Amino acid sequence: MNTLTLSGVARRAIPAAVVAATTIACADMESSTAPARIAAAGASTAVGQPSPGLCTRCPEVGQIAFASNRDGNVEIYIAADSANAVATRITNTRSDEMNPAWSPDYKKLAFVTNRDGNLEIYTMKATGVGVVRLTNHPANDAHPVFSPDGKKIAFTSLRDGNPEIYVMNADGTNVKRLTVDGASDASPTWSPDGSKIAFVSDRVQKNYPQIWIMNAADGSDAVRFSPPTAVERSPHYSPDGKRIAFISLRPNANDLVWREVTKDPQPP
Amino acid sequence: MTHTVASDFNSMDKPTWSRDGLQLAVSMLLPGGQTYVAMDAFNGTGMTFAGVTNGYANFSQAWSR
Repeated sequence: MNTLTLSGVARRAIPAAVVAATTIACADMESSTAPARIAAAGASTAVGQPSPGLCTRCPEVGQIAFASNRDGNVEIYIAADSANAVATRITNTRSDEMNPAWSPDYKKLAFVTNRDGNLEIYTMKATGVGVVRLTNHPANDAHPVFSPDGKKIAFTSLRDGNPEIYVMNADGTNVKRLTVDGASDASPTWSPDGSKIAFVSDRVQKNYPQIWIMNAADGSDAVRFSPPTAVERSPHYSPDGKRIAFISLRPNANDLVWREVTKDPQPP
Repeated sequence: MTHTVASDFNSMDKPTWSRDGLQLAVSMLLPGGQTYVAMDAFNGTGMTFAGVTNGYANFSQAWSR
């Protein structure tokens, strides 16, 4: 059986035992290429300690939230978006934390962790405190993304047997299923006006995922965004909503691509 | 219109637009390890910055810029 890793790259970048704990079963949505090296220590500070170049109260300063295995297991860090920025670890557990997603005001992060036995979605302040569990289901939940108004979170869940897109209130209430399909639907991203959600799905050809767009309100009117020329993953709407960036996979390499949304969607 | 920002890299994943829509961050495999890399989204001027790896893996990034 193939698996979809929560990070996409995690399967190649972290130990197999960790990856085994952070995967959800579904049709393959990625290809494996070269292995990553795992060696010496990385630059970082501990939870709660100040970090040069990092300003968690300054939204005008760009920050990168990311997952890293630099301290032994996968934790979430924040670093300024500049060269050689020192990272601050904002989670510190024996489990794995990943898939950080900023709230629209950049004060909170949604993330995924297996700290309670399986993959669930949590939120926390950008400083790492105020952790709140949002989902509580025996099946894995992943890929959280805040809606542009911060009131909802879209995510991927296996709770109905295969990966589907769901949406819930930002406090974890009112979970609603958006996609109903026997194929794998995953990796949602909101349009800036909140009216659409783009995602990857292999509903036309199994194990050949492509980007689709649907109405965010109810999952209706799903249309294929791209012509069926390559396997695609990880869509992300541009801030003006005019483009979607994604990864296009070829047998031995990947391309970073964006496509204009104004192009007529491809028929299913 | 489709625009290829970067090609022929291994292990690319999770593109994230900057807030001004001019740059993209993406994780990819560099000589020092897997990490996030920011680049111009339009004119191909190359890497703006990259996360420090020291051999470890940085991935699943999200950009607040």
